[in-house]
Amino acid sequence: MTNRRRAVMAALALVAGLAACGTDQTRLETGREATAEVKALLRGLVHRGAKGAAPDPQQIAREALAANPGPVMLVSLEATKSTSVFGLRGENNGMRTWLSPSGQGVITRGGVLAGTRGFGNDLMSSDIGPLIGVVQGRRTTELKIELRYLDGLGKERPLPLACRTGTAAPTGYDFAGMRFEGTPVAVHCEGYGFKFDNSYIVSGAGVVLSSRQWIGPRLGYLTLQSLRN
Amino acid sequence: MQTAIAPMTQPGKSGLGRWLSATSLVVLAAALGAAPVQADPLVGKTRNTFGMPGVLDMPSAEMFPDGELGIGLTVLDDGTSRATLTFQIAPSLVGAFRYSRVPGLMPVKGDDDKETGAYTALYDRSFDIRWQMLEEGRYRPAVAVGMNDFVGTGVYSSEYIVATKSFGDRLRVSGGLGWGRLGSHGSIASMGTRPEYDYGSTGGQFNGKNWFRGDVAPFFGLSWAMTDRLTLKAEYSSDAYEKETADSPPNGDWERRSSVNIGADYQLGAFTHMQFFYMHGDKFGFQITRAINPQEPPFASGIERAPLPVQPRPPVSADRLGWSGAWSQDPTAQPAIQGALAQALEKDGQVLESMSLSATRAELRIRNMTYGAQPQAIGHAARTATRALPPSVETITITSVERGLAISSVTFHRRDLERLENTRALDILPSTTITAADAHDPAQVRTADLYPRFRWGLMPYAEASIFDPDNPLRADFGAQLSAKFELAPGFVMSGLVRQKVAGNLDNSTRVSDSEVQHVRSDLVEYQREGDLALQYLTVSHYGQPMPNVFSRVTVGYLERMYGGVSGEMLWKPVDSRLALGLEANWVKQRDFDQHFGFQDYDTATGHVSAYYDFGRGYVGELHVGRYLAQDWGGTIELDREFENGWKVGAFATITDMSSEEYGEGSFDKGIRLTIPVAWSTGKPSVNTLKTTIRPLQRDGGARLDIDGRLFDTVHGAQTGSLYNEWGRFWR
Repeated sequence: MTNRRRAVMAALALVAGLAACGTDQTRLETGREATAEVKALLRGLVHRGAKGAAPDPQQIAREALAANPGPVMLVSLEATKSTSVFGLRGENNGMRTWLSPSGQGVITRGGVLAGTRGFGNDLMSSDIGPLIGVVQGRRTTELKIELRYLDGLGKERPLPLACRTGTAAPTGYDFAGMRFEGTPVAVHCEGYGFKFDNSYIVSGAGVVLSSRQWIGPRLGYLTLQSLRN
Repeated sequence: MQTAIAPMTQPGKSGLGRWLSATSLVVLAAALGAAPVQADPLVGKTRNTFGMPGVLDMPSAEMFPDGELGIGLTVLDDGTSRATLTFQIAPSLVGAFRYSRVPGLMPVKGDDDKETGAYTALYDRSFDIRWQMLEEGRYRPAVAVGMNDFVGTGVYSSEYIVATKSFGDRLRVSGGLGWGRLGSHGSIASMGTRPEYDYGSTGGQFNGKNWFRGDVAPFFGLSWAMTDRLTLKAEYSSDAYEKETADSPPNGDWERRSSVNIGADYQLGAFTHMQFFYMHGDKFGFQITRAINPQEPPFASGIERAPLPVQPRPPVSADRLGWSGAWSQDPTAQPAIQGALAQALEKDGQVLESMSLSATRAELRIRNMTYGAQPQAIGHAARTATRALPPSVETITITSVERGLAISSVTFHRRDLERLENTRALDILPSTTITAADAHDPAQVRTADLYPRFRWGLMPYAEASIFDPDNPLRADFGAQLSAKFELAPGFVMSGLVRQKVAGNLDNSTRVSDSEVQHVRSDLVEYQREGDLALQYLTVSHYGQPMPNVFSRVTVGYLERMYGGVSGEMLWKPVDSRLALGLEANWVKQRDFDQHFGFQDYDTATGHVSAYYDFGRGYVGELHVGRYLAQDWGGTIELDREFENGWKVGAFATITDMSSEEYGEGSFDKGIRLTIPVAWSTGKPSVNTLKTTIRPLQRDGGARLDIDGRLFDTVHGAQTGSLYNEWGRFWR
């Protein structure tokens, strides 16, 4: 490598290493993004080792219960295997909005997933009225729902689905030092080439204790475990 | 929909694509109240060697998916290369801009500016356009008419009418008639005369009187999708490759042994294709193309902090004081509420500029620093307001403020926010009103401690130069320091300094040969001498002198090449499709080193402007006035704006400067792109990447390049844009 080339490479490294800094967020961002991309690339090249073991969900749950006085649940996104504690931040019209410390949001109605926020490609809104009663009442029936998402332009698009529900024999399990007992309810929905299977464990009082529910075509399934309702 | 007539299903096109295309009608119907007629053109999957949908050299009647941008590079083994940018302007209209190298077509001039008789490679730019005038029917083929290289030197100039029919999912057959280059081999008739190709032309003019003139020849082509990824193609070409095979002057080393061309296209990924071809039994070629569809972002959109939810009001019995409105008599109420709201909005990435509050109404004036779609910012502000306002406040108005201008007011009934939270985004729109904001509302109380406001940033930058025949890509890298000091709302000092660290822009030896005042063509001098360059340093003031009228005054080093004074007025009612503007500037040309000095040239320049929103995202602009080189004329611009912030546009300027004075290209024209940063990262952002691609930068028809013009400042927060982007209201 000639001296000149070396100097150029060093200069380029300097520019790339120049972390965008300052207080003008609107202007800095492009530089930050570019810098972050380069850094992520370099990190990927340098550290190819295994990550640390995933934290124990039961441990997370115990800590969350100790730290939060209000309703909390444990939520994990299957696709990324990330688990987080969501605390109740608002209730309106039978809708409960839960937020995680990192700012993601889950919206439920009677324990049934009604929306998500902040994950990207979120479930924006839904018409799931008939499903809520069936899940809480642990009934076997057929019904129609509609889920809605934003397309690449930011316009809301409906996904109408036809669903069948079914139940199984009551079951019970222990989690984070608590005993959960309820009836499994399975929901199978299809529409526009998509199909998914949601499952719920519903207590005798009609409370959804835990569930595995489909968010949408791009996000996949979310697992929710109620810790304090 | 498209999948019904596409020759094959795209690999990896899951149910998602089918669902998106199938539900578009449902959504549109819901949005417009009626099912619109949906255009359904024949979409091609592979490109021809010119980057357009087609066979090999021959065109077809096919289109690209609506809104798709494509970039491609074709190389032939004689040294011919074609870099093409395509854009599907509307469902049935596709355009292309091309930068090509053709060996042996450019006369070499000696030092005495006389032709030496030798020839070198011609670097040329060309524009194409194609319109699919008939869609494919059950028995009827799709029919398109098109023109290649219709403004320019004309080496690829040709016109055609072509029909394409699909048979089953995999076979497509095309046939057509060509004029110009496409009528040069096997002609069957002649329609008038067409002038010979002029090797010494400056080009750039619309060669309108030549269109569809001269010899006419038929051509045919077929493409067969052998698998989902591999397509085989063959054609009978009506292009004689006259210039490339000519003996006098001896240009290329082509020998046209056959009229048949064959090729194979392989799809590498969802958006990338690779193609090999064998042309006229003589030359091999290769092409790689990549499509970008603004409607399909590479990242999940909406990776951000979830909004705070609506907080419903307690029953009257639980908060009699709050419901009574008596709290509004307490002078400490508003400061406390405003302080809490300002803090919550700051966390959300917004600034509460000011606020008015009475027992029943509240108006929040917000500056959105974070969300690309203004309705999302408004939605967050409205929800935050429900968490802080006493229950007797029933009417909540969110006014969008940009550069100190109160642009629009969106008014909600609080009970609607409570009732409709997280329902379909359009459900709340009928009971929401969008009005002009009262710029001088005396009830507005400014948030404490906002001004003066200082922000700065230090970040890397890159500047590139393309289309230089000596070196098609040069670039500089360095660091830039920016600062912005807001003294009061709409009263801003801002500056930007760049220091180059590495790069080769200064290697360019191109010297402007312009015969008129070098108002723009000395760019290379600015790039070469701009060591520690002050890009701009200005003081601006924005105002609203009367309803629906916005004003701007900017003084200082306005842009890289000019300093001076710039004033602008814009009339733009909140719900008007039409806007009218007036801009007047006095400027002096800056020194090449971009420090504080000036050159001798100064001028007055300015324009009368009209802006019109045609609907469906098409916005046109017309500017008439005096340009930097003191030439008089007009600029016409047409942009297609996508709901997610993408913009693709073209512009052309005709002035009284003659094409001889203007030089190569004859008049100023180009293409511009705006890409929202949020589109490529998935994270919220108001920032965009903007670029303008000009075939050539000359001195005629040059406008001042000033930051923060009024139309761009107000457009995004007015009724049309708010409606287009409303889908993100509850996000």
